[in-house]
Amino acid sequence: MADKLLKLKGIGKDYAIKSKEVMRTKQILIAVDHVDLEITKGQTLGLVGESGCGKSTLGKLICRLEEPSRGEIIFSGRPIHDLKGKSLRQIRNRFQPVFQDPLGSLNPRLNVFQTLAEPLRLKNKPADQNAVITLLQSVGLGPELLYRYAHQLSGGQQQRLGIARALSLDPELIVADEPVSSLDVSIQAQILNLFLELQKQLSLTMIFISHDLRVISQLVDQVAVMYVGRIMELAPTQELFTNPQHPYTWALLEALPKLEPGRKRKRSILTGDIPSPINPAPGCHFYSRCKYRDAGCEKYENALWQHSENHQVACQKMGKIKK
Amino acid sequence: MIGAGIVIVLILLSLTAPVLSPYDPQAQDLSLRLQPPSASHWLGTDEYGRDVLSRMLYGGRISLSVGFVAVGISLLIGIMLGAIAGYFGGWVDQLIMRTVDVVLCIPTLFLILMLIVFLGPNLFNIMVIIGLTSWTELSRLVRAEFLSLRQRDYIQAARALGVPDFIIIFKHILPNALAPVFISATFGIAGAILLESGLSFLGLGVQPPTPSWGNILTTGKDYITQAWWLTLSPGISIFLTVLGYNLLGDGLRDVLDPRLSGGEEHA
Repeated sequence: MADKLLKLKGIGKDYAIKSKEVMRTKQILIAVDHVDLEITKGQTLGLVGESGCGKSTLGKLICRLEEPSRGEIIFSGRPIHDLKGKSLRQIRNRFQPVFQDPLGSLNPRLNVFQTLAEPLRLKNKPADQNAVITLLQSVGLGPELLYRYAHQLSGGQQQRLGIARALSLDPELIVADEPVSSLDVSIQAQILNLFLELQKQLSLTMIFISHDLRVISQLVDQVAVMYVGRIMELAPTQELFTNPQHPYTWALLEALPKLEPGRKRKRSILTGDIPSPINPAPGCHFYSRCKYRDAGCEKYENALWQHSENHQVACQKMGKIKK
Repeated sequence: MIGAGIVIVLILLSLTAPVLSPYDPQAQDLSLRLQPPSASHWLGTDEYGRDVLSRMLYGGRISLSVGFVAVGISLLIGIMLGAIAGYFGGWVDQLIMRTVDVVLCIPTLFLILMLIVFLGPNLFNIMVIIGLTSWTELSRLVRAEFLSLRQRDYIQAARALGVPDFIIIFKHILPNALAPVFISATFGIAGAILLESGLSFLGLGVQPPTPSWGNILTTGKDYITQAWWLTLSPGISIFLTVLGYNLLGDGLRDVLDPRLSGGEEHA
């Protein structure tokens, strides 16, 4: 068993919602409910789910950009969920985020050189032009961009710069939150290829957050499907596509557009609404939209069940239901 | 950039007042009392026969220095407190903002009048007192900017890189928060100048015989039926100065935001 780089144990994040009424009933939005995950060194994990399912919050929790409300984060054997101040700052270089909006992730007042020199200096590495140019070349950017500002770069260049900044500290883990969803399709492919190359070259561990299963399928070893703050299914990519077990995963996979002209597809379109993460009802979170539900589901809190090695499913009727 | 033009002209006039002034602003000549504007006295003379143009030029220096120093002080306090409140949040934020609320509850003019009565009306006191009473709005503005900028991805990225809070505040957030702050500060200069003129008008500002626009205006009001030039000159000067700074504030907003300035290359 290879060593685990990152372990999440029952991690969760709540937000208190201030109500405007005088008689306040405390409203709590549970963005991430209770997530257990493990990532082996050098592996890539995809995190998929609908908008608002908590996947971005989970990414921020892992990067310690949000304070977890409960649970533990263990990074290469060391608990990091309660680190603060300087000790947190010192470990930050080992896990780096890549953001969804490439322009928004770059300081509009810093040029390319300044953007990349700052982290180099923080790590006491040489922060001269040559060092920055080397870094730029590692993400396929040329030295002519050195003194450009973020808004003078194209979307693809901006995202490459964001990746270069994340790599500047030689991290072991990259958490990429929808890194290509705001880019043109042609550029998406380039950026995804860049990630693949970098991952091989630097033996990075990566977490990809995406709402797009197709993007994920090209890239990752393992996929975790999230729904309203909980993980519904976790399996190696191939396994998830060929042998999905959770009714929600079925629906996700069937929703993918396929090029099969003339063939009518059987689709189980989800009915009903996504349950609100504010004061959620007890029981399986997928209960309200699941056509296989029964009384037992109301008491089941989506604990992950082992389906086979490396394949976990959060459905109490696992194996008893068929698509 | 009419505003910048007016402000630059005013600053130049004040800086070069000793050279430009045709007469000593304090020199009295009782034989030339209340002379209307003429070739030798462009803006006429006052009740002691002093040259109004010279007094206006010297008075302008006072107004401008009050404006700059007072706003400088309030910028210093406002930015520090606003930045700390907005960046750190929590109880620090509560403490600072409730203090602001308390300070705002005290009627400013009343407070200033009281302090001046205690500390004595001189230029230094006036500048400091105006500065110490006018930072609340700036601190609220800075806090609001920090609250919104703190959530931006590039600030999150800086935090993730392990950049120390101090550097995030001053290098990453503050430069991006300054545009509205500077705009507000230019309006603040106009306000401070008005306040100083008002205080001098009440006799609690700069004390005669040192000229300031406010006290020229005060003496002018006693002679308003005979010598209109005595009130008109400071009146128009104050008006133009305030207008100039307000226009400058508008102009600055366009210049200070790199995304709004035209002519740049978009790849």
